[in-house]
Amino acid sequence: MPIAIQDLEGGVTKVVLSGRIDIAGAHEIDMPMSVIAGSRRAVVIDLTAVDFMASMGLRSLVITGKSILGKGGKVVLYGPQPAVEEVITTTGIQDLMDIHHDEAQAIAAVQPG
Amino acid sequence: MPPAEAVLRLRGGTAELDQLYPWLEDAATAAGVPPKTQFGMQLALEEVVVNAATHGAREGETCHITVTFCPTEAAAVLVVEDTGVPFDPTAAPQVDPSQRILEDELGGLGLVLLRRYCQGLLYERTEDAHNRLTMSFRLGAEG
Repeated sequence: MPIAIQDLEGGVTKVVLSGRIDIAGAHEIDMPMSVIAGSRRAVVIDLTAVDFMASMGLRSLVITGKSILGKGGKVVLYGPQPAVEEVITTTGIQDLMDIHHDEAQAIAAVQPG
Repeated sequence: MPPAEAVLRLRGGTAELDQLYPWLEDAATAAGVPPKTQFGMQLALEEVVVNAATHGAREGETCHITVTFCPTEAAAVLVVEDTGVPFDPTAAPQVDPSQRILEDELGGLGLVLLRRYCQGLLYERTEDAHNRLTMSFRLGAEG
């Protein structure tokens, strides 16, 4: 499963994606990401272990991010590998969700209060 | 002797799309296409094929999609031909991706990727009313 969910202290949720978020990977993360979008307000999406992401995976990220932000929550991306980060910045997703390369900063950025 | 071209035929619908990646990886690796170039090919191919499979079919019809990989000395070329409704991605207006993201236009994401990762993009409407998109990728290109 290319997605794992960890509840951290302070009401922050870390969503760890991994492997290839291609067509099959996007199908696998869609439902859990919808649950996250509907139930969490402080989310770090950990991309450190993602080695490929294409348009269906990006759509899943964007839909989740917009849903959380639309409800007044906070969401950031953490640690994309250079090739994946280039895909993200090419599509402008960093204007929706900041990219952090330091995990503590990523968590602090979404911490409530 | 250059490696032979490879052909993948899909009968529309999203269920068959999982074949796309293993097929491309096998064909491109056999032809010696570097991993960095394959990365861009995978991004572009997913966008074009998923778009044809999900939006291309006319009501009550199946959109048949044929992908051909043609290795040459200078470039890796992918030709995607489908029987769907006319769609020319090269004619879609170029917009600022940041604006698209903020304005709720998810559909534009893939076109931005296509323009970023393909060094050549040619659309034709064939005589037998198919969409044919030819995408070329420089071997070992920096992007």
